[in-house]
Amino acid sequence: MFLVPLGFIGVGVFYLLYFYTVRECTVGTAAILLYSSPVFVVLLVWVFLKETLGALRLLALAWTFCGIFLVTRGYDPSTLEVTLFVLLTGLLSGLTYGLYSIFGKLLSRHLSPVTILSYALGIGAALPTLRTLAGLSFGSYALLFILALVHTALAFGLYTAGL
Amino acid sequence: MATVEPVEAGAIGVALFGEEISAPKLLGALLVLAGAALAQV
Repeated sequence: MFLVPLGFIGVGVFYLLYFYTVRECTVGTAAILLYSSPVFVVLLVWVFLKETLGALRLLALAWTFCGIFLVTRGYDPSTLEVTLFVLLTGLLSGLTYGLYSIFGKLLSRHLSPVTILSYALGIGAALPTLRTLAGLSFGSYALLFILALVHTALAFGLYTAGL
Repeated sequence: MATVEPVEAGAIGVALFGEEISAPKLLGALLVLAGAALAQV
């Protein structure tokens, strides 16, 4: 039941949003925006699973949003590091990354990590593959191969095994 | 582990791409990482 949203949102939409953010701002800022993810998980489990927030999690929320305010130079609107749209795509990359953890956790009670990973990457790959594969150079294909094998399959496999 | 990746990405961004790192940005990054770590406690 959660395999389709896991693959489509947690992998396909996540990577589109994240790479768009990386392209439009600095690598460091994109990575920091992505790490709003745990806070989104806290908010989602509070809303949907009725877990309590608690003082520590509220403090985590406050620190995260203050940090994002500083990283994006929100204190000086005339020199904002990112546009509001890029800020939104960066935060949404954190949200979709968080959803991967939530859907993955629910699925891990019933399926093996390898099964979850196979479906997630297969479904997630359909979205960007259809749009971008045509007309790339050999170097681009080589980099994509490394990105797929090391940074995606291996990374997600280890992460899913740890859930 | 959750806090290693953005630190690594930030350091590589500065070293390889010459990205600017200012005091407010560094403080903001530390706050986000601390928030991420605290959210998982």
